[in-house]
Amino acid sequence: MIVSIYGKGGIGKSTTSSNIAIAMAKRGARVLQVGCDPKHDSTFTITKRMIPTLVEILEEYDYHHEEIDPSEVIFKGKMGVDAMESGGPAAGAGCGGYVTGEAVKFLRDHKLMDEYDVVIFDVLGDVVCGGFATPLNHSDFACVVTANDFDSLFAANRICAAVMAKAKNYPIYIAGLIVNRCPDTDHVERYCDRTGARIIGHVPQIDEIRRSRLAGVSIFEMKRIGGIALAQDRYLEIADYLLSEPEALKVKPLTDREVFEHLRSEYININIQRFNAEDLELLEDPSCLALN
Amino acid sequence: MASLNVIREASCAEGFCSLGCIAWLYRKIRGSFFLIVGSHTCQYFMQSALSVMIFSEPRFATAIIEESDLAAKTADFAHLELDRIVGDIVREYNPTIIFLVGTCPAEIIKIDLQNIGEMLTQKYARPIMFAPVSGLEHTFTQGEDGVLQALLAVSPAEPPGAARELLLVGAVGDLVEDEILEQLAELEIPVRGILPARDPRRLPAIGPNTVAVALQPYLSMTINALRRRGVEVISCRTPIGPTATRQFYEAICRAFGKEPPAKLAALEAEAWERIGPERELLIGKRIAIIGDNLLELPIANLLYEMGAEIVELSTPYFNRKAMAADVACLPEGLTLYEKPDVIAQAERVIALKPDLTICGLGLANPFESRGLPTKWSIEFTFTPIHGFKHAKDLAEIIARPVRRGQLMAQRGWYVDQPVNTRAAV
Repeated sequence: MIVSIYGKGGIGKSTTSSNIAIAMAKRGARVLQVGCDPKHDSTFTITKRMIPTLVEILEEYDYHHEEIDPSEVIFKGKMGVDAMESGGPAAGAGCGGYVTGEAVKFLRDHKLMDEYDVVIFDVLGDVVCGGFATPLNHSDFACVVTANDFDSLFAANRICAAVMAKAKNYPIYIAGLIVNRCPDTDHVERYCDRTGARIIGHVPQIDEIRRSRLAGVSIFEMKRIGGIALAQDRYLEIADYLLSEPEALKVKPLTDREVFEHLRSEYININIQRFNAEDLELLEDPSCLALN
Repeated sequence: MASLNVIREASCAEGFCSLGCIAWLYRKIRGSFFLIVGSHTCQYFMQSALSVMIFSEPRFATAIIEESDLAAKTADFAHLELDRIVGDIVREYNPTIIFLVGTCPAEIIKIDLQNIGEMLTQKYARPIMFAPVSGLEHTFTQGEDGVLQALLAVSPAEPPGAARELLLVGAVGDLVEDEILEQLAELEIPVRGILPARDPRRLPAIGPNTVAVALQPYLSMTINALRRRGVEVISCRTPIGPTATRQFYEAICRAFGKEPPAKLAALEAEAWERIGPERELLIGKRIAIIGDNLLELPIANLLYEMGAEIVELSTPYFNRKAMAADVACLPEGLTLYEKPDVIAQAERVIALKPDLTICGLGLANPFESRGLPTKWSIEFTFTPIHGFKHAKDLAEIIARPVRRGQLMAQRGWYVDQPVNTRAAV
C-alpha cells in the first residue's frame, strides 16, 4: 500500500507520518517512509540523524544515475522502519517540486518500493505544483492532516480538490482527514458533513509530542504514561485503520470561495446575533463583520 | 584493459537538444508521429532543424506549454489538453503510433506523460507512448534511447518456447540496416528483428530467448530495460570501422555458439584495403575529438586503428558501464573529459594545433579561423558509417578535412598569429 500524506505547512505531517510508520511497524508491517521536502526533516526521529538526501547522493555521482546503488539511498531506521529523504534545493532556489518528482521516479525505476508492505510519502505543505503532486500519481491513498482552524481546513480542501482531480486518471482515493494538535474537531466535522470527507484519526494537543520531536525520538520510544500513552494509542488506531483497507472516500471539495464562506459562516451569519458571543466581545466594532 | 583517465569537469554538456533525435527517427519509423510537449522554442528548434529536409512530410508537432498552463486551474489540465490535441492529430494524420515527447519544461513541472499516454492509448486505439527525451537529463543522441524505450514498452512478449534469436538495437540508415541483416543471414544467425522496427505494427517480440546487441553506444536505458525483460545482452564494440565491425559480428557468432568464419577477417581486410589511402593520410596525424553526439569513443578507436594519435578527447556524457567494450580498445593512458570546460578545452586544442579537430558546429569556425582544420561531429550522426560497406564513407569524412587542411596550409591560407581566445569573445 502506498499512501501520501499532505497538509498545510507546519500542521504536523512529519510527526504524524513517522509515528504512524512506527505504529504500523509495531503491527508487523515493513514500512518505508519517504520525505518529500527540501527541508529533509521528515524521517529524523526514525533514523536518529538527518540522513543524506537523494539529491546529495546524486551530486556525489555527478547525476550519473546509472552509478548509484539503489541501496545507497534508503536507510535502515529504528523500530523497523526504513527511510529516504528526497531533499531539494536551498530555500529560495531551484525547483523543489522537480526534485520530489525525480525522487519518486527513482524509486519507481529501481523498484525500491516493492519490498515494503507500506510506503508513506510525507509531502511538504500544500500540493503547490506538478512535481510535488507526483507521489499522488503512484499512491493508493492520500491522507490530509489538518487542525480545527480556518487555514489548515482551507488548505485541506485544496488538497482534496487536487486528489479528486487526480482520481479521474489515477487509481487513488482519499482515505480521510487526520486532525492534529488541537482539542476539538467540530469545524473539521462540519467540513466533512459538507464534502463527504471523514476524520480517520485525532491526535489532540499533547506536549510530549512536541518534546519528542525536539528530542529526536518517536512517541513510541517514550514511556507509556499519561499523554504519551494516549498519543501512542491514537497513532495505533490510525495505523490499524490504514492497514485494514481503508474506505475510498468520494469527496466533493468546495471551491476556494465556497470553503471561505462555509468556514466563516460557522461564526458569522448575515444575522450577527448568531455570531459566537465570546468572539463578538473581542471585536472593537462588531459592524466590521457585515458581509458585503 | 585500457586505463582511461576520466576527468569530470561537469561544465555544460556540449550537445544538441535531445529532441534532435526526431530528425532521424520520424523517417525511420513509418507512420509515426512525434508530439513534443514543450515550449515554443522547442517547436521553433524542431521546425528549423527539420524544415531543412523539405522533401519529407513532417510528422511532428508541439503541444506548447504556455504561461496559462503553469497557472493551471485543475490538477488534470494536461490530460484534458493533450486529449484534445491528440484527437486533432489522429483525425488529420491517422498515425500508427504517437510519441509524447518529454522536454525540459514538461519535466520540471512533472507533466505525467506516462499516464496520459496510457489513457490516450485506450481512447484512440493505437499506441501513444511517452518518450523521455528531456534535455535536463539527456543530451542529443540519447533522445533515441528515450524513444526506443517507448517502443520497447509496446513490444510484444515472446511466445513461450520461442527460438533464440538476435535483436539489433539502434537506429541506423536503411541501407546500413539491410547490409547488417544480409551479413547476419550469411553468418546464419537467426534474427528476431530490429528496434526501432520500420513498421511499428511489427515490433519484434521480447523475452528470455532474445539476445540483444546495440548498434549505437548511447542506448543504456533501452539496454537496461531489455535486461529487465530477461534479455541477454551481448557486450561488444560499436560496429564503426572495419575492425570494430568484425569484432561485432564475431561476438554475435560466439553468442550463438558458432565459430566466427574466416570470411569475417577477410571482409575486414578488404575494408581496410579500400580505405588504404585514407589510412595512409592519417598515420601519425594528431587528432582532437571533442564531439557532441556520444560517438566519440568508437570514433577515437577507429582513428587509433588508422594510426592517428588522439591528442584531446571529450564527450558530453560518459556511462562507464555501458561503454565498457569501446573503452577497452582505447590506447593506454588517454584522458577523457566529460562535460569539459569549454574555454579551457579550446585553449588546450589551440595550443596543441591538431591536424584535425572533430567538434560541434559552434566551435568549428572559431577553430578554423585559428588555422585548425575541423570536421563537424554531427556528420557522423547523419551519414551512414556502420558496417563494412560504409567504411569508405566513414574514412572520407575524416580524411577530407585533413587533406583540405594540408592544402590550405601549403597555400599559405593559415597565417600564424598569436591568438587570444578571451579577447575574441
